[in-house]
Amino acid sequence: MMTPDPQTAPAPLLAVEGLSASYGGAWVLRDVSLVMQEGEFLSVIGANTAGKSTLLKAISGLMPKVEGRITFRGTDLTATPSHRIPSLGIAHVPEGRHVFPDMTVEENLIAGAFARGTDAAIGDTLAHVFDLFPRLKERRRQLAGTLSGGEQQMVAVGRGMMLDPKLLILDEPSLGLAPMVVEEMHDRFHEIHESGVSVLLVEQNVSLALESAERAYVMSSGEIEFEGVAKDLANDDRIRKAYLGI
Amino acid sequence: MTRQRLLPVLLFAGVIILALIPLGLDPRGYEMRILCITLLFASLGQAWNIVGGLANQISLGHAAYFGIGAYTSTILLKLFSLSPWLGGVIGMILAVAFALLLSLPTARLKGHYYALATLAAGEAIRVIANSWADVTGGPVGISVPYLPDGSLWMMQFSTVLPNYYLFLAALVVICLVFWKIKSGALGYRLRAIKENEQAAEVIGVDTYRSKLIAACVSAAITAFLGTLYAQFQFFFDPDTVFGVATISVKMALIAILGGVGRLSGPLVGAAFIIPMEEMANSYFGSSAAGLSQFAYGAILVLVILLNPHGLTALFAQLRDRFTGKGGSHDRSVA
Ligand SMILES: Nc1ncnc2c1ncn2[C@@H]1O[C@H](COP(=O)(O)OP(=O)(O)O)[C@@H](O)[C@H]1O
Ligand SMILES: [Mg+2]
Repeated sequence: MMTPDPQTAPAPLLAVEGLSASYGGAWVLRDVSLVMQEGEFLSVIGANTAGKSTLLKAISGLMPKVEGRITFRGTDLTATPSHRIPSLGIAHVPEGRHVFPDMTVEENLIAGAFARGTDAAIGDTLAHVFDLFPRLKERRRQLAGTLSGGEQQMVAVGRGMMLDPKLLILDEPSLGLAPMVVEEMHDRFHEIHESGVSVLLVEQNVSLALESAERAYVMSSGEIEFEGVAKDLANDDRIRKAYLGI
Repeated sequence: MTRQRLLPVLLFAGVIILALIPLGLDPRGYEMRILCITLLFASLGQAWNIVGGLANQISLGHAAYFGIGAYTSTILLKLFSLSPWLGGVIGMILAVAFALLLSLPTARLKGHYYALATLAAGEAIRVIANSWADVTGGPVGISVPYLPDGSLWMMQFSTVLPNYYLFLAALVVICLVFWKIKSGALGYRLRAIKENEQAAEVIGVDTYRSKLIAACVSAAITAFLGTLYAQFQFFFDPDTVFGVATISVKMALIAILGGVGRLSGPLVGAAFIIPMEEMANSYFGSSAAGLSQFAYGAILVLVILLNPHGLTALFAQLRDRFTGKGGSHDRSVA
């Protein structure tokens, strides 16, 4: 089991320590530990069913049963009800483009600021999201359910950004999207990261994940196998054999 | 939107018309009774609409609340001569307690599982009411004690005319409650939950609490309607007020048939179903009582096949076709 290097971890943004999680039956995550620094672009990779989504859900308080500790800027997330977690500054873009289909694009985005209450700056954030995804501005009055897959993913990410988050959690944002759209999405993720938001990305496209992220954790069967700088992992034989098919 | 402005005007006109109808009818007659029952079921459908339409929880156990209301006020009236207004409020409290209890195992259930769990809970209450004869009178039923000089305070009248206006007032109040919830903050949260529960959770909606509030409001209203029913009917038994077909399914059916989640849905649904049921019963006689259940099923399937958004949407569609307006039904129709 790895322990975070105290030198690189003065006051982490997010610290997961000895986390186990289950949906009611067997443990799906076992003794997972992970640290993320303020401003980092971190990725979690691993085969299907490794437990990546479960880890993200545990952070957002969406797992029915967890053991261990998850702290975000000093707040214990395991003791925080899930509906209070967004207001701490954690935006979770779940796997599978969960938009509100019968709401317009704009209503979907406004809903993303729900946890901010009546914050006067919501209008500014909306303008910022429209700058990020001009396509959404064009389609602002269209029902989200009628958009293409790529556009729905933009809505889902834009809705996350409407929280004005400290941490943006992205679960498989390029699943099922055309390669061109995938590239465009990743460019936006970089832009978001550049603007000071920490990004935690789960991506099944491992080469893309390692290109985008600064550092990555590798998961398998509910446990963290190893962790490293993304560029090094891209050349790591274990990764190349298992995930890149080289 | 002109349609948004038109709606309150239409509703106001509707209330005026409904208030004037009895003037032309025999206050002790059969038609008055049908009208009363129609208003009552429009209210019941609207109460169900809060849970089934706004929170998207298809409950098939609302008879539990209805029966709790009917029995609570009637038993308290019998034992302590307590005014049904007060008994009704106690019934509301008991119904909310039951809704809270029921939410413990069911709040996380979805779709069919929720429907089946509520169905089972409603049946359990019916069985209890049948066997707890000391208090409820059991399968023999219970009569509301007759007070020769009736009064509003004791909710007893010499004709059904005051009952009619009570039902009408209840319907107006319940429609206002429905509209207030639908267009308010809770309605916004429920809409998010209905459209995508997971997305609602990640934006910070307390999905459990929102559904629970909707369930409690709906339960309380349904219980009070049970009291109004008891004071109108004077006699009932467990199989009537706790019945699956007589109450639970009928409430759901009225809302779904009319247009689930819409203000006008239960109004249209009740105006359609109740008179039709009465006609079927008088035409085929009580020997074919099961036939009306069969007719329900057939009509429901037909409407859902024609338009799953219910009769109101179907009407809008037809109107659009006749007025030559393009596009399908408008989601903004209330
Ligand atoms: N809702 C659920 N209920 C029960 N088990 C689940 C649920 N979702 C995922 N699992 C199980 O948890 C394990 C990890 O799944 P998941 O976290 O979705 O993996 P990944 O995102 O890495 O593909 C899998 O074995 C999966 O079958
Ligand atoms: Mg996953």
